[in-house]
Amino acid sequence: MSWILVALGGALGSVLRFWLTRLSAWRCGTSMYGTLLVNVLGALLLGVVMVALSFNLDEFELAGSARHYFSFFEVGFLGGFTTFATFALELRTLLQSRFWVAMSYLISSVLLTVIGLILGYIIGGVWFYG
Amino acid sequence: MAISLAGFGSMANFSMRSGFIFWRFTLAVAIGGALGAVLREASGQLFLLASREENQFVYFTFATLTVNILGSFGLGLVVAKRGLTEERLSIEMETGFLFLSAGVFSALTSFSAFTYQIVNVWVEFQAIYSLVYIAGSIIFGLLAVGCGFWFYRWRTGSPTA
Repeated sequence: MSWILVALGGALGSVLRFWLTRLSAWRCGTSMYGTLLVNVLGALLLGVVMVALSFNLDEFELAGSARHYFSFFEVGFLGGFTTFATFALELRTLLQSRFWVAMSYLISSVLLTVIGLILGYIIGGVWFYG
Repeated sequence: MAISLAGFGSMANFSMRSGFIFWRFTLAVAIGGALGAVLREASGQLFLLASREENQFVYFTFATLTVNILGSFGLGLVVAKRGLTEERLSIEMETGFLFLSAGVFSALTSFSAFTYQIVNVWVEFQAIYSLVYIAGSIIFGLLAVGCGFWFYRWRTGSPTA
């Protein structure tokens, strides 16, 4: 069951990422902005979802569904939504032509995703724990 | 600057114009993404099997690193095969390319797990370790993409990418 949920979440997340990066490539001429947006959004959502899961953990464990929520949202959806490989490919392509753009892409990716995750924790904390 | 800065930029208009091609590509990405996510979960379970109770956390960190490197290598290989070109391939080839690149290898790797590990290592151990983890992931990821390109050139002898 949890494997099916991982597959479903992965498919959904991948399609959303594909559309967003494609939109970015179409509108801005590069998929870089799409990938950055996807990764930061994914980190933010991960923070919120983790707090949400831990808040409802007792209830979900009672129903035996904690593992399912985890599989679908965190492993499947958010894991498929965010991507490291495209990031590495874009970074490598950029490094060959525009070094400083590449460096700012690298630093902003890492920094913004970490900030996004922490912000997600905070948003989730305020939302669920008040 | 037709080539665009990223590997996927070049086919931008290709898919947006025709509804049929768009949904065909989307379906390919969905199936590939499902496969990639399942592979990532499977490798995580393998690392979990190898770990003991007290060091599961460390193993999970290396599991994330491993799938990120493997996925980067695969993406480099696939993009090298397609070539960073503007020219349009047949719809079948393009579908196959998107299945592997935007589907399997992009879903196999995960930036959110990477970020989670950064913060977790920072909290559980020391800041310096998470900096090492960032540097290692980025450097080995870049090297893996390069290895993918290089491996394709070596196997086929063709000067792409």
